[in-house]
Amino acid sequence: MTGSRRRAVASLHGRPAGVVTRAAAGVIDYLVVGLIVLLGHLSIIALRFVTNPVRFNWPRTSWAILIVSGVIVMVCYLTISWSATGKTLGASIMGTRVVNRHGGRLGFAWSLIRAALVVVFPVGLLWCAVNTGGRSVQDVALRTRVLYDYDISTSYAVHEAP
Amino acid sequence: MAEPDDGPLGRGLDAAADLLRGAIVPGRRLAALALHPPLLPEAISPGRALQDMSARVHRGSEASLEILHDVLETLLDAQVPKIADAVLARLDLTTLIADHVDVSQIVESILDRLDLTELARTRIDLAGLTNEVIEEIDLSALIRESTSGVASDVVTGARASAATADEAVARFLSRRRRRRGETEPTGETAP
Repeated sequence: MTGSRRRAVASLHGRPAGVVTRAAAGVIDYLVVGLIVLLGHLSIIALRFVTNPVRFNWPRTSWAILIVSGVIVMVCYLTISWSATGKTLGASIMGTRVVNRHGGRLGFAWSLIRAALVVVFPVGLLWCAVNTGGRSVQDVALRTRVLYDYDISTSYAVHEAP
Repeated sequence: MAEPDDGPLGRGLDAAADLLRGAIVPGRRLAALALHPPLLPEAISPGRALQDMSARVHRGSEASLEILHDVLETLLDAQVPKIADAVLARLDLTTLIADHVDVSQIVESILDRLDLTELARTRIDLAGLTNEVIEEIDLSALIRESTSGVASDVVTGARASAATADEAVARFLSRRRRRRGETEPTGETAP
């Protein structure tokens, strides 16, 4: 990694994040949630084996249960991450942060609503590519923004569209 | 012993020898009688007195030898280092050894006789030494720093690539808007 490229990336700090960066962060978050669900599922199976190894047989879990548990985990994961630090693991890696209209961290309730909207309507993210302020459907609805976050500061002077 | 037909000298000597042999036994008896007179108690007999005197002389000589030994030892302890110092001060040992001793041959000979690997294994705490070296250079921190450096580079690379892609998408959409005659977006996603 050259110093000039590093500086070019750092110069984006505080600006609205693009659709590719946000999608990449989302993919990482989906992977994290998938891993959590998988580990939880395996843990339950292991617990059943430990409690009754004689009658144990590998359970056939339906996709519906996996999807519902994935949705619940995803909502919890996003809510806790956004309300606690403003960023999920994917956002931390890709260097983005969710902020409210004042540039501060989202409250728990707003985080929960935003998480529910993101899970219910994930393609709403694509709207940030055409929106003049780089906002997704969820951002427009809740007046939130997702900014590039390449340093350790926690609050930003939001670069508003002219 | 002379033969009987050796002549007058031989016969004389034989006679003298016989005389002496005959005189020895009575002489011994006479000496024993003089040293231990029958009427005198043994404690005060001349023989006992002579034995005591001999023992005293023997003990005295042993004590004298011990004293002499001590004196000599003290003398040597005190003087030998001084003498050695004085001698060494007058000698240039380094030059002397360099001129007269083949040091490299001695060292080679010693090294040939030694199994240095075995010596190091038995005499050196290799595990302790290795741990000390690792602690001294802080190997774990070194690995941590290099690993985090690599991770940081990977993350920064991913961010830069994504930001470049963001910019490309923004430019593409901007061109499309211009073709359609729409107003220009903010272009905030571009650096």
